[in-house]
Parts: sequence; structure tokens; C-alpha cells
Amino acid sequence: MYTTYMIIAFSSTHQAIHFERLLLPKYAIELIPTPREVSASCGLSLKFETEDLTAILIDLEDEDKTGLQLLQFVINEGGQKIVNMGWEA
Amino acid sequence: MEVKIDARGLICPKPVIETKKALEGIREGNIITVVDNAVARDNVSKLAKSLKLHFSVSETEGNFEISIFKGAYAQSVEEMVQKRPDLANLVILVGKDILGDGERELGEVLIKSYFYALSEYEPYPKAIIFINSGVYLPTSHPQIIEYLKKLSDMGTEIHSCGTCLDYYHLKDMLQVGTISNMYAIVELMADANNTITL
Repeated sequence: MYTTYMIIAFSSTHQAIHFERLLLPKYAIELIPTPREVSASCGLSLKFETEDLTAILIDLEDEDKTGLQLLQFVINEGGQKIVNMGWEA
Repeated sequence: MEVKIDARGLICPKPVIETKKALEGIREGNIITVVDNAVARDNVSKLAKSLKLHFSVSETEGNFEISIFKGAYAQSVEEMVQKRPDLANLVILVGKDILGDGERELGEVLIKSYFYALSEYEPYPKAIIFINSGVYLPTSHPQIIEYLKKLSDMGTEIHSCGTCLDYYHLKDMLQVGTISNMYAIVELMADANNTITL
């Protein structure tokens, strides 16, 4: 048994708010403080369901994703695993 | 204190031994062991589990980082509360619907972040009291209502000031917790070991 969710970690607060505005009408997203295990940025992350990933990536196609981290959190009895899925730089 | 161990290329059980040595060498802090295979990852994780220490695992470019916390970080909630009973008797007074003074847009983001983090952090507060425009949060803010429900399920009392709900015409919209008067609020704060005002 395990659960997963996705995180986009932001390097700019304004960008985090912009992405939240963009996605909130369509998806069950949460703007949360960036989990401590993820390298410090502006401190905000968007959390959403893994099943929405493909659709969200399409919606974000034209957005500047420089400095953003896309991460998947996998949680099971053994603890949690964070998988780096791209962007940044 | 943070110690990083590069255990890539080391043969089992070397990564476990190196991690154990590092853990014994510090009183408290964070040991990060980097390994390059799943077996080593599992073995180092097992070590942390057997020592009853908090740990997390992350993966980047085929390498695994196991981060193990020791000391203050690693105490269980029960141990923490035993040492500092005041931690469990915390009352938070929320006097407005944003966090801090400044741009409203940022204040809204911060108050949301605050309640998310609060709902993830044990020990949970004894009570949260909403007064003045703070009552907008348990009535009109879907995301914060979810976090408050989680806290309420964990035993935190959620109180909203009746006078304030009435003033803002929100009395019928309360989604979580109870309506309280100023006597109950004064009593809660007087009995608390620690009160934080937001």
C-alpha cells in the first residue's frame, strides 16, 4: 500500500500565486509551505494529485518553468520517497 | 549539525556501517547518506527504522539520499510532551483573516500555509480561537476549513467568537467548531500554558 502526490516547488512567491490562480479553477490543488525535505526556495509549493499531472503539464506548457522543481512524493509504511521529475535550471 | 556520507560505490554492508558510525558520532542532527543502489537504500532505511529514528528517502539521477534525524528532531511526540507539557496546552488566538500586516494577497497565502503546516505539526494545539475578521476563516475559506477539520478530528478545540460571527453575518456559515462567548475565550486563554496571537 502506498500513496503518491505531486509537488511543484517555486523559487518565486509571485510565480506561485500566478500558478495557483491558473490551476485552482480546474484542479484540486493546494498552495502549501514547501516540505522541509525539498531544497529551500521561496517556501511555497503547489500540491496536487498524481492523476492530474498530465493535464496540468499541458496547461502549463507555455509558462516559464525556470527554477521550478517538479517532484513526486511516494509514501508507504517504510517512510517517504521523493522522486525528482524535472525542470529547474 | 548535518553530516553527509557519500556511500556510492561502497559494497554492502559498508553504507550501513558508515551511517551507524556517523549517527553514533553526533548527539543530534541530520545524517544524509547517499547511495547508488536500491539494496543499500533499503538497508540504510532499515537501520534508521530499527533505531526508531525519523528518516526520509529521496531519489535524484539514479542516486538515493537517506536523511536520518537524531536528537530533538527525532523525539516522539509523547517524549516531547513529557518534557514540555506546555507544548500540548497551546492556545492560538486568530484576530484577522490574513497572516501578518502588508499586502493582502501575500497575507492570504501565508495564513493558508500556516494552517496547513499547523495541521501537520504535532503536538496539536489545545484550542484555536477566531475573533474579529478571523471568523471568516472557519466560515468562508474551504481550504482552511479542511485543515481545521483535521485539527478538530485530532482533538483541537475550534472556537469562533459569537459576537464577531453575528457582526459579519456569518453565524449560519460556521463549518467547523463551536460558537463561544468572551467568557469562554478568557477562560481558555487563562488556563493555557502558552497563547499565541496571530
